[in-house]
Amino acid sequence: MARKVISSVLHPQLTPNDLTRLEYPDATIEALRERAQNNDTDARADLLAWAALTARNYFYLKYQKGEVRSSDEAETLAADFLLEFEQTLPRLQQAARWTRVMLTRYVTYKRHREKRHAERTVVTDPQTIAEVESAPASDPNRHPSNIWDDAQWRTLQMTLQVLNKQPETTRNILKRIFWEDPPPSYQELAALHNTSEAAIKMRVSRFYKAVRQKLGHSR
Amino acid sequence: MPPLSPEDAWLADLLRDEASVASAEALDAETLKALRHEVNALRAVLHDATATPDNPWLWRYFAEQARIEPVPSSPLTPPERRWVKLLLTHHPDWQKHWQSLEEDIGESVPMGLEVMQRAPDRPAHAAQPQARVYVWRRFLVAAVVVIGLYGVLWGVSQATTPVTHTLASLDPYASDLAVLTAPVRSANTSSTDPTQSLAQGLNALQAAPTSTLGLFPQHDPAHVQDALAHLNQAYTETDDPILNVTAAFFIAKAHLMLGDVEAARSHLQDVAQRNTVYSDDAQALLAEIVTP
Repeated sequence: MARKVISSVLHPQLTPNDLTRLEYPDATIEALRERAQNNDTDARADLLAWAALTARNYFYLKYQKGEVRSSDEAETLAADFLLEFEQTLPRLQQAARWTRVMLTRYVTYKRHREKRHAERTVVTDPQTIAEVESAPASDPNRHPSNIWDDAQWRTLQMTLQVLNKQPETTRNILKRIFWEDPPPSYQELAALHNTSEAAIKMRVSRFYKAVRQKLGHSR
Repeated sequence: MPPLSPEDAWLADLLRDEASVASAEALDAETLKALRHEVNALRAVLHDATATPDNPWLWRYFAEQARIEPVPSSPLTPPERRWVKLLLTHHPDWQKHWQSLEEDIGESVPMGLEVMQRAPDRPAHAAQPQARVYVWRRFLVAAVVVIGLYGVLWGVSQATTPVTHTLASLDPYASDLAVLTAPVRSANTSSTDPTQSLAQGLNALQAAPTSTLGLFPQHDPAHVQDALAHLNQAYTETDDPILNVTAAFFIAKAHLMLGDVEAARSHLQDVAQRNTVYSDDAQALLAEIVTP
């Protein structure tokens, strides 16, 4: 297994024991898990310390990449994860693997929650992850595809086929147009892509014509 | 009718080509309404089509495919799973995000995408004209191959055919042979009549050439020997100098068919020096035989 990357921001705070824990191979972690599930308190403490360090390291690395806004947020996310790890420990089967997959969820959900807050589509705050996930299909927090008919699916598939053929620059422009509130002006998009407004309009116009032709709207 | 909002107005600018007007302000209420409806419908679809991959549905599908236990959340509904797989199939950004998740956890996770059914672009019966074109195309290809092969074999045939075979050709004398081989009936005609012998000899000579589809020409030795027997009889028994020189000339041709150049040369020299019918032809053949 490759040597673990340690966050340079976190590193000064770590003791030699911390560094040793971070390098635990999966076999050691599973051995600790089994002992912890058999009420070995030392193993449990060691395992929780490992989980906490692993989460902090992960979120500090994300902070260094700009995917987490601050070190405080990194610490908050790590604390949230540790809580869930402790609650799930009695049922865990592969602690190391479960941890690696679950850590990716926290950053994803956080961004999603922020986006939904910005779109003002989330009903209340605080909205826990569990509430979002257990909502019925008709709930606005579930995906709209739950109530699509066949025609809507077909429309989406054909639109995706057209979108997939567009150059990356056009796809990036369209993403901003349809996901930002309010959408950017032609002037902003032209400045961002270092081109003229006419060039931006032409890209979007060609895409629309292609979509409408594919959907059979053009005359 | 409220005017289009700024975010709709630029869409209307693009769509106004359909209404053939100079600007959005010139659109009437009904056209505006239809455009707004179309804009909203397109906006909704494009919103879903351009969804960013950092969303809980993609992540939950990733966790499903990674098969971690326990499952951290309630499962995706079938439509949600379908939506995720559709965007994973078509969206490079989603595929890149999947790869970044794989890098984060340090292992490969299968996307589990079956072949998404494409919207049919044309009806099924359009396959029949294609089948007919396909048959004709195969026929054309086969014809070209056959012609090409024949061409190659013809070239080989030409290269391997002896010169004497070409010199022995009876083609330039078809009209003479038609006259000479016509049956002659007279009160004094007998089976040993030189005219009959000549005719029989020439008939046998004409039956000698053989080939396979025009390739690799040869002369049947039996017919040639038969021809020589009759022609020699005509040569020795006739008093008519024309019949005699004619017999001598075609005896030479028979020897060329057998590849016997020296025997042919002897008779050709006889014909050439008589300065009568076939003398010029004999001299031309002698020039060909001498030339290496």
